[in-house]
Amino acid sequence: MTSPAWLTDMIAALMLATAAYCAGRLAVSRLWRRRTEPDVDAAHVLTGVAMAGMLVPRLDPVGAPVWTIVFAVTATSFATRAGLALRPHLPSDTGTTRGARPPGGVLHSHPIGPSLHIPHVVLSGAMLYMYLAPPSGASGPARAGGTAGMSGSGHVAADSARYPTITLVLVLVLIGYAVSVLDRTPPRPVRAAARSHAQRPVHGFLAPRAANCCDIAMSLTMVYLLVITL
Amino acid sequence: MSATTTHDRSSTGPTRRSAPHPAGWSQPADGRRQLQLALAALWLLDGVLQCQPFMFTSAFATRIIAPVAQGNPPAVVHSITWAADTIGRHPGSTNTAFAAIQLLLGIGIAWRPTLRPALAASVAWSLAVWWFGEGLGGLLSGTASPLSGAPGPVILYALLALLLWPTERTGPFEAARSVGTNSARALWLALWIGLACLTLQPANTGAGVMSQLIASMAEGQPDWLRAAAGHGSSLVAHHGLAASITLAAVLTLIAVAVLLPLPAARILIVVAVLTSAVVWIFGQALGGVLGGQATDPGSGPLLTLLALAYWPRSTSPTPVRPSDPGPPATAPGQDYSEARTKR
Repeated sequence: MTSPAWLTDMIAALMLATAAYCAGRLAVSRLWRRRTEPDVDAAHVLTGVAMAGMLVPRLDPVGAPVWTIVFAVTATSFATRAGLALRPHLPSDTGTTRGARPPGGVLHSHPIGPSLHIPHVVLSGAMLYMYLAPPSGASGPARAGGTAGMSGSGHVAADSARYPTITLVLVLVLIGYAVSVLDRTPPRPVRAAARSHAQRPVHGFLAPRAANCCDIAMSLTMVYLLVITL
Repeated sequence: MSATTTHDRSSTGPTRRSAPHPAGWSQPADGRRQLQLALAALWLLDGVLQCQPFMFTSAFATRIIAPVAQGNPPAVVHSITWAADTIGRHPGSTNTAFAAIQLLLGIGIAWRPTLRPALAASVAWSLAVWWFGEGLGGLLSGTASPLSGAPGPVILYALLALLLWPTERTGPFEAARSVGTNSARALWLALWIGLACLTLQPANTGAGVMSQLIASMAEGQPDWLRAAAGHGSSLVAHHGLAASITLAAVLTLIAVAVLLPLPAARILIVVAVLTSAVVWIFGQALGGVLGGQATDPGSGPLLTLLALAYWPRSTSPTPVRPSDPGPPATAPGQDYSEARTKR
């Protein structure tokens, strides 16, 4: 059974728009001296393009083998950083989380917990899972030259997940992440608060609510891709 | 990849990308908020499940909606048949609307500025789906069983929305804060006693009824779930009446939890959670979500959420406003039933 073409086209367009927006964030953050999460934005660019290719195979620029390597790298990267964040912070570490400097040139003042990276480990891991364990009934990414779960009609087909229980666990984790991001997304900034932030030596975060929306869109689209294989 | 990361924090801890916001906006999610977020997650899951390819076909109307009319009074049958016909004629557009509504409900509950309207809308939507999509949970058909999801998962969404309505009041448990302690207790008693009564309906006490129900739900499920259901089915085979009476006794015991002292109440709330899990796994096969044609995760997670909303507190974490005095907090060992909310 195949998902409606208009739906997959629409979600693919959303993913490409999200990827383009995150690429734009990467480009302008240095120009505007605004803080971003370059690693997360870069991962979103890759994930957005890959998911658009999953939904509409003709949009896939590189094919499943390349994406498998890409998401193995991103998952490992985020997992490593989550692991490093578990280390106890020495006094010399405080203020220099992972030795990184923000674009503004001022050192960070707080250590980062692993919880900030784990959702991205899961998201990258889910992408990897989709490429490594394509739904049964699909011709397989390597043989088809396309991505997991693709039908010959050019749109994603709902073949059965090979490991439905793992699929369900991923779905629940990603929905939980989307809900938690929604919960902490404020409606709009308050001018007074914004001024107090502006007095800091580092410029504020670039469009935090839009960044949260990217997280939510990525998570829910991944959930959709997983659910249609159940 | 660069390691640069924002560290813009609020008082809540490591929230990244915290935009400048009104003071107190990003409060840590307390117990009530966490329950609301769980409810939002379930609505989102419903919305995504509604996007499964099967739902966009007329089979959704003929195989999911129309059958729930069976056994209901003529007026209910007529309305469900009308709904099934309408959906069957326009499966794409109607299902798109259903999915969008449920996704928006989930997003609305999870995003704090839209919490109240989303909860209110979820009650209205739940009641409509309970009628047209679940045939009132089969309550009027004489065959409803807690094992198969009675009184209908979607009505539990409405109940949870009501009990988790945002409020400044306090109470001995979260569910009591919005409707008052006595009303919350009455709802709990009605639900679990009702489930016990449904379990003892003649249609559910036959020798092989429970066994067949469990076995039928296991079809098309993953191996581990099929195996578990197989064990469960063989365990109650030929002992339908005894199994029904046992289940009804457990449900009745759970019902009286809200009337007992705090330690006993907590034990029975844990029993409620475990019973919900057993019903969800064996009776509902995880709501059938692994089968590709489920519209919701079943009643198990909702009953669990409900039970958690009735978890008795030993202390009151919410400061009491002078204009809105709440009840005295229950201390450890204090009689749970005596901790009344005076609204």
